[in-house]
Amino acid sequence: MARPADLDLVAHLPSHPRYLQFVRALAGEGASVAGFSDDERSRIELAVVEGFTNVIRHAYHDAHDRPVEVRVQVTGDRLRVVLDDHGTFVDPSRIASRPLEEVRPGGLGVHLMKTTMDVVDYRRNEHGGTTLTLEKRRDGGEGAQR
Amino acid sequence: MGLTVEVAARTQGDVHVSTVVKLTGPLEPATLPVAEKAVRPLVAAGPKVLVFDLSGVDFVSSTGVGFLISMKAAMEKRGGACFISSPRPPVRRAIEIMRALPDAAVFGSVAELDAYLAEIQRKVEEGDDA
Repeated sequence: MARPADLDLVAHLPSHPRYLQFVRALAGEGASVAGFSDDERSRIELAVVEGFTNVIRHAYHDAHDRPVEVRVQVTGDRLRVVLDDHGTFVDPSRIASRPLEEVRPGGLGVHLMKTTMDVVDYRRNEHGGTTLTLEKRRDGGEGAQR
Repeated sequence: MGLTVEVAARTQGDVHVSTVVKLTGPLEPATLPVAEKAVRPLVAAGPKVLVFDLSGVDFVSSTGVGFLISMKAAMEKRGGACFISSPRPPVRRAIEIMRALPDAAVFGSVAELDAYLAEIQRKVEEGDDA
């Protein structure tokens, strides 16, 4: 039987940028409970903010009144953040990170998520939208495995 | 928490060295309109050197970094220069992770940047661009 989560926070939010700070706080709380350092917590907060921003931008095309479920789970030293939307399925290749030697805006968020989290996984969900799963284990090294 | 923008002219003697934009608060999608509204007219006014003092910025997302890149590009297009000063460690790290700006554009403090600009000016006056 799977071990119950030490922390399980679920928030149902509109797809509005004003909630980014709230999402950041949720992620930060999860990172703290999982025992990440302040530096790692900052990076995790940033990765989750980038995920939420991509939901607003790519799944909902900047509509600010659509539903997003944010779930933060901690089990032992593992943090899992799941963002569920009902928007357009986001093909990861459409928002793939760009070559970093090009100094220009855009495509930085995906790079940031991949370099920070152990797992960055996009799947189509039952609403036709996207489920983005971000996972990181404390002392689990850097860089996404999938 | 919102973003506040303060603008100041830095001078050495009677010489206008740079226009400093001090941002305080998070620089992310929700606060970007505030930064855009304040800074775009400044860039359009054509200062030679624009400095973003990030000592008061506690969080920057890729949208915020994208804004800094855009302003830097706009300044360079007009023949000016744009620098970042005094980012807090998490903000500096975010910029580094995204490898968004060349290291030469980021300074630990406004004083460090002033010294760099003074040196550039001295070299120009002496005809030494090495």
